[in-house]
Amino acid sequence: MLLGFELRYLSRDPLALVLTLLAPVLLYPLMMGGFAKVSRDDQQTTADAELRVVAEGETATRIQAGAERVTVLSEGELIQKSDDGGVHVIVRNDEAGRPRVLEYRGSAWESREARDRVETVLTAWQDEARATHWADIGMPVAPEAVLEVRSHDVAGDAQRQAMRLGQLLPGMLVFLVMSSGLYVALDLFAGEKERGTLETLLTSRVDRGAVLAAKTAVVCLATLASVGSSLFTLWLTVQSGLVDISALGGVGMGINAAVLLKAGVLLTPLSLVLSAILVVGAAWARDYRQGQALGLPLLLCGIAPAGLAAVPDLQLGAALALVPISGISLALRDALAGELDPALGVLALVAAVGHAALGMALAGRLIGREDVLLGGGSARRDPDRLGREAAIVFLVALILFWFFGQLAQSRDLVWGLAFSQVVILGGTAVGAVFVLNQDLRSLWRLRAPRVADLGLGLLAGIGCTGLGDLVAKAQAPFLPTSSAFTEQFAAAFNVDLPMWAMILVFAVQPAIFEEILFRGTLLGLVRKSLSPWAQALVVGLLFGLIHFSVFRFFPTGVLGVALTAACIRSGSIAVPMLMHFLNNGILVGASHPDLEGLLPVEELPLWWDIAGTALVVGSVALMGRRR
Amino acid sequence: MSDSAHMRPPPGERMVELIDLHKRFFAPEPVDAVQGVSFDARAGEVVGLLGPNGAGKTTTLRMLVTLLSPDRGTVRVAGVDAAVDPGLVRSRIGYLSASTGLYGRLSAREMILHFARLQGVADPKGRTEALIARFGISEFADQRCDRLSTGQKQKTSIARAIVHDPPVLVLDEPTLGLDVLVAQTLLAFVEEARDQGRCVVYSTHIMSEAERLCDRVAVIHGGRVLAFDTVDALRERTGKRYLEDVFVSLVSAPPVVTPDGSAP
Repeated sequence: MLLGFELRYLSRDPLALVLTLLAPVLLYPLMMGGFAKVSRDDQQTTADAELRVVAEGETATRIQAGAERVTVLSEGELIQKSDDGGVHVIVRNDEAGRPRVLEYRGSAWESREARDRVETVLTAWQDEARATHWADIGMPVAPEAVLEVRSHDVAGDAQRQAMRLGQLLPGMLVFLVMSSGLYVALDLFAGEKERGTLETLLTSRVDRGAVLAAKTAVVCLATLASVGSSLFTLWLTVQSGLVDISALGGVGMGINAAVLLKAGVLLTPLSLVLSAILVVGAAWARDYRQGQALGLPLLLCGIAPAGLAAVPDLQLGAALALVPISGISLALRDALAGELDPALGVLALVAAVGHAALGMALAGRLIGREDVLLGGGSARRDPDRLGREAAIVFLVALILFWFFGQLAQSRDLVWGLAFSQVVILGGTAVGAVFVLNQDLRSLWRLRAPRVADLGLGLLAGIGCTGLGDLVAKAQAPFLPTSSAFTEQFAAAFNVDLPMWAMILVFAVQPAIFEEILFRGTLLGLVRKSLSPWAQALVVGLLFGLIHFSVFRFFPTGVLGVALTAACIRSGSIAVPMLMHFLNNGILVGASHPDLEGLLPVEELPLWWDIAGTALVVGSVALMGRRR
Repeated sequence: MSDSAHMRPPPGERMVELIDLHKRFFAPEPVDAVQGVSFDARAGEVVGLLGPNGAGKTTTLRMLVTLLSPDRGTVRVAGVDAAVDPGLVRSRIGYLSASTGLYGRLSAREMILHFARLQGVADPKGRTEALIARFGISEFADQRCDRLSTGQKQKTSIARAIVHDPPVLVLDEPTLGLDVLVAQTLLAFVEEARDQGRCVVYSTHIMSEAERLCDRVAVIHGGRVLAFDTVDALRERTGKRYLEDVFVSLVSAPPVVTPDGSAP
């Protein structure tokens, strides 16, 4: 009943209808018409343009004779005219009068076109000269008969245009969907707060959850309607012939009902993700005006990641398919070009469904809070909850590590690492404790562990080597490690140091300083804001993030989760420190030339990984238990 | 026409009980908006919540109507604990405040009908038409709410608030921003509601309203109830003739607390 009412009420707002349904109807024909005109002009101009080339001697003669629609000027003529603004290419000859350098302006399409025309002539001349040379030395062979390679774009005009259109469309669609959804969300949440109707509704006997669910559902339906209207209008524009899109070649064949259906399937979870963002922003605002101020940042949250589809040569891979909004946008671009890899499409779709579910769950949780619902959400907070401070501490460490830590490591790996660990991570961890006026012993869990927990930590630390490797193996099919990364990573450990120094740098240091930042300060700060499970997950994944590598994020993140869980369960930071030391120490020690062959760290066996994972899970689960 | 009285409790029955309510906000520093507020209200009486702006009246009433949950304490309406069944509590309350609004794109008739349906009224159309006739809404019943005058909006709001014939009315500074004539209509409605046996909790900072309407008054200041009694008893206790002087006297004096922790 509530949903029906909200929809009927919304339907009485002409502006909502215009933004949701009519804007796409008006916009897409205009956009397609404009796009076709630009292409047509581009094609005509490129084909018809009379281009000017400066060349001397035989080079000039050959270009004049061989290149179409080219006017050849000599340098003398150029000087007389005192103007080189109209020259598109200059061919410089060597002392023997042969062409050596071709100067063109890459920023101007006319210059690039002139270069192509001149190059065709020069390549033919080169082949001819080579044939003459072979004949002169008694080997009359035409070079092109031996080996001639010509590049040929098999994509064809239709696919090229579809790809260009695909680069434009995701950003456009996200903008339209978010614009219509934003208006509806602001009206339903911030607007109703301001007008007092939300308070009126919440004092009726209807369940609060049902009221909020109905409003959220209306925002979702509005964004979905916008998606539907966009795709239908796109199809109608291409198929109906209302707009002359002949310049787009066979692009009309590309955008058929099947492709648009595929696009609709991809866009459905995307519109739910966007709806969740809009609902959170609109509910957070105290009133309509504040909601409007939030509008641009909210739009950017959607449009910026969708804009990745417009980046030339950015390929959809397994990792990108998992990125919210960007993954679907790239999949949509490829779908419109008819080049979507089905496996990647499914991965992007599944990821987007996950993002949508997560977004909706978070939105539901946030808008249900009475401080958000009945006032501004930003001002009221429990001073004992330090989640926001934890985020700031992490960002400070991340930024310092990114700029100064990496710089120091690039100059000298060993001393740079020491600087990063001790000064940046350790300094941030200690500094935060004092700035936030926290009790160090309690925040860092500086307690002697139980002997049993220490023993379990010992086992878990050994097992961590297997856990990290198992995660790396599991992610490999989706995120194949690049050879550059493997070489870089191997080079990092290829330092000429004695064993004890290697252990000190790569095992002891991280075990102390990474632990006091992550399991000490950060875990201590979030413990009143998150459940223990969430603490382990959040702190663990932040630990993965600071390793600054998409390939190491999950392996180190999962290790981080295990270390955090061990710290929570044992109640002492000493346990994760021991585990961290053992994990790094075993990997570093076994890769040292002195111990070569003891453990094949380059290719750990699967049984080791499984046994190690079981050891970690079992040991952490048993920690903190009393007899 | 008078309201149907199928849910009306016998006069004198305790309809509202607020016991030791606490509520803390964090905006931007921690503020104890309500600190141990306790009072009750019975069928057939108007209980006034009298206090200056920022005294904690709205927070208290928002806890009463389950918009906010108390950090500590109990809210009971017609014997139902709000923490146990907030929906049932809301179904027994009609709530009207200066900030409760009307849907601008609905007509007055649609507005009342919509809330009749939401509140589960057995014959929503019949009840809507009865209220339209009773409050003289007929002449503007089909006009959009955003085109109504302030007085017309107020009548529609009252009809909306009592559409489910609640035994308890909670009115939070309902005359705020109204002109004298419209305010008079509202005050007359409150008196009529009391006469019909409803329990009315009425918050205001206007002394004359409290003096005219309230059988008992809870004087609230700084989130605490300083006194809770009839207007005459408060006059007697403070030795002041006018309620305004009574109020100033109570606010200036240190709080008197009875052994059980409540205000006398």
